[in-house]
Amino acid sequence: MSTATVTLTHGPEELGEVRGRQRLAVLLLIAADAAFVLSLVFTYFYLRALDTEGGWIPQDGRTVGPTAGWVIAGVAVLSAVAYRWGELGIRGGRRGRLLAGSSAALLLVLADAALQTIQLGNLPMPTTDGAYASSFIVLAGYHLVHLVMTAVFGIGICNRARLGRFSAANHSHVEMVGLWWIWVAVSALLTAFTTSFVGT
Amino acid sequence: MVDTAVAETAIGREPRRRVPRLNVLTGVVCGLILAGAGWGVSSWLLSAGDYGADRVVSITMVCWAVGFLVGVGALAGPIRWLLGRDLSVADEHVLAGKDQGVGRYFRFTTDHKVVGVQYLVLSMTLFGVGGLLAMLIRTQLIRPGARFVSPQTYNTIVGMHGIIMIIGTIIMVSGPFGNFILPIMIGARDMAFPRLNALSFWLICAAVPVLLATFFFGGIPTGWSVYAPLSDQAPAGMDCFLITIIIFAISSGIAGVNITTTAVKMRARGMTWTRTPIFVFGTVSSVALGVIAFPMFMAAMVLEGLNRTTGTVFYDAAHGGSAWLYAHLFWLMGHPEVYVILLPAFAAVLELTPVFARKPLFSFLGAVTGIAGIIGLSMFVWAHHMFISGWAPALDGPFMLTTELISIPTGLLILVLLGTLWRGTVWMRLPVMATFAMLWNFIIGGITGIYLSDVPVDQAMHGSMFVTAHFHFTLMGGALTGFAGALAYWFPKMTGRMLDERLGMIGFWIIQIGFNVTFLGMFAVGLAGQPRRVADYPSLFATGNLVSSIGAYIIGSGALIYLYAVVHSWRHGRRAPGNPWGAKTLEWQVPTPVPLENFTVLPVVTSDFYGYGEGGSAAPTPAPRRIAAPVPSGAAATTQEGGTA
Repeated sequence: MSTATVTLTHGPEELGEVRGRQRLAVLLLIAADAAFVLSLVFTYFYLRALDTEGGWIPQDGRTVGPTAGWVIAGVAVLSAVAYRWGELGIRGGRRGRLLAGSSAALLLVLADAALQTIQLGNLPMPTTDGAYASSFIVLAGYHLVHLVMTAVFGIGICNRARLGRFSAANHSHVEMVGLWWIWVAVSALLTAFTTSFVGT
Repeated sequence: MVDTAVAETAIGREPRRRVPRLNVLTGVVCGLILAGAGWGVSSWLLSAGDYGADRVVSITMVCWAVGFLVGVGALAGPIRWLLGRDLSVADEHVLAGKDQGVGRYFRFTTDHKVVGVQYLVLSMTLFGVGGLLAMLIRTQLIRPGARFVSPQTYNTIVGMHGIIMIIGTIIMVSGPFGNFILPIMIGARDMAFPRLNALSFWLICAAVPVLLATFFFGGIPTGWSVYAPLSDQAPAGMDCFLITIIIFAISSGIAGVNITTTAVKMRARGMTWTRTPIFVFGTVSSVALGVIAFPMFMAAMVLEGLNRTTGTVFYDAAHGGSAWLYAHLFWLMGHPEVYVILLPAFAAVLELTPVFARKPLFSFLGAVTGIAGIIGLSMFVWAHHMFISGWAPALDGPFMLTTELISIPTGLLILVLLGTLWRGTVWMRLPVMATFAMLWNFIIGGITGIYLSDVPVDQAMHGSMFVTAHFHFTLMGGALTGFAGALAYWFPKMTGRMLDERLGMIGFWIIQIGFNVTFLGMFAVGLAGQPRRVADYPSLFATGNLVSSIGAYIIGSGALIYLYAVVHSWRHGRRAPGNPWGAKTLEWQVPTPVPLENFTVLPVVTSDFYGYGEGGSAAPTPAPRRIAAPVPSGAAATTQEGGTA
């Protein structure tokens, strides 16, 4: 037989082990989400390249300018930076900085969600008018879904920071949510970049 | 973050009794209430216009799923995390189903062994429903001109049979055995994220009623592949289908992340990758592939759902969309999904074969290379499903080549099986029957796949019964047979009882005979030109279809016998010893039934698990001839039962 046994006391697992697992799991979840986002990006560029029956651009030619998309992405990046600032704070044991950073990041994400909602609510073309409209709406809409999810995580982190659940030695959840936050910012940039290519 | 670190839990709080009171019944009640509310509100606000019915059905189904998950207690963990009310260790034990008897199988229980059994029952139930639909299909096709069901109903039955079997086969190995066996096999006390584990199971439970509701909303007359733009024109049953796939994709993603993390991060000390059992490789590569592949499938379904509920035009060529887009997104998942199904089953057979051949696995490295080769190539073969779609004819050659290339790593796995059996003293028990049956079936399925990968052959055979027979030989003859072997192999550890060998053998071989009769007959009518997914056919194909239908009834009879053997043995079977096969992997070194935390002391691995016939003797160790637990060869092992095996 090929195994030996070793006696270990069965207590709480080491933080390092737990953190390693959480990190891998979050990265895998991000990979899955990235596959979904890239499918939407592929959809956008594929339909744009095909321009089937000249149906990419709406019939009256109305499209969305790129500026708003970059502003929305910029706010998402700012929120990630604010969160990161808070995260670096808790690494040094500064709970107040974590609370301030995560709260600021949360507010920025909520503001970003509001901007994205306003943009989607004031589109110059209906969903039924051409593949561009459809592709734009699904990319922007999914960014809104990202922001809502991030806001939920942010509320949890803020609340737990308020309750003093994190310390310099024990803040793996802050780090994991931080990974997600960075991905949402990257995804926002990808969305803005993609939707900047309008004409065929 | 759904799963909290143990280190962040508050120790010593009284167990909360609210969570255990929630169970499948409260889930159903809560789901129905929320579905009713969703239906009422959406009917009031959104039912007008072209997309009204689809919106109402979609919202109702989403509400059902959310309500069910809330009612079963699946969302309690995330909500508590948000509120900062972490679970205590005592809470975790309650959630794990400690001292809760049979009731824990009907609750949101986090113990990986409970989840494994839940998956097993669910997958067998799905096979029962899918198999019943297969009988209806073959009854309709028993003679030309039969009017057993209407053409529209027939199409829906074909589509539902397809998707139910696809879901069933995706979860059939990585669900039951990936959850129950894999953590013990790698020397872990549980999965990395127990609550995510339970969530992945209950998500499927939420999805299954949505899928079955398809029948009540006009069905899916498109086949399970729901090609656009046919799916745009389908009745509201299509919305149920789309919601099902989206929920299932989320479940698969969560399960894939959990199993991968568990295997990568929680292996026992000393269990290097070269000492990791091959079943772990097969399961992890499968679920990890699913983590990337299923989101693309989900994207295809989300876009279709948006087409149906908001009027987007992704697949509508008249407005700038393209049906090719759907085909790409669908088959980017669709072909890797074949390997998601096949690899864990193949790996299970690779795992059990050395045990019964009493020989080391022939070329462990070859097996790992084969699995890696399949995974790598599987993402580059999707367009062989689109040879006759007219998309990029210049790429037909490269995709033909990649598809043919994938037969090389697949053949490597076959060689490993053959090499393991070669000159072995094979202990002819029920589990190893799957090895022989799989070799026969899968070689036929694989070789016909190589035919179909050739563009000229594919242009003649595409959409014919030949294709149907081919993929049944791989997925049923290969993967489902592997599942039957895995079930027979791990049944004693999972249930504490021995599977009735005589009834099991009878059922198993009746299934195999029926299977070959059914699908060899189908090859014949396919070659003669009979199209698939059509409710009637000319009398030219009558004999082949009659043979296939008779074969299908034989499969049904064998399946009932096998099912009876499983159910009867589970309740009344002979009690199983801890290691009835004399196997060396870790799951056989713990007592049966397995304790809540699997190991009282964690094992340290010092060599691989395939040293049968080693340990001083170059010759294979003869296996015992009786049912009594054999003595493993090699050095003595200290087991969890405290003795020496």
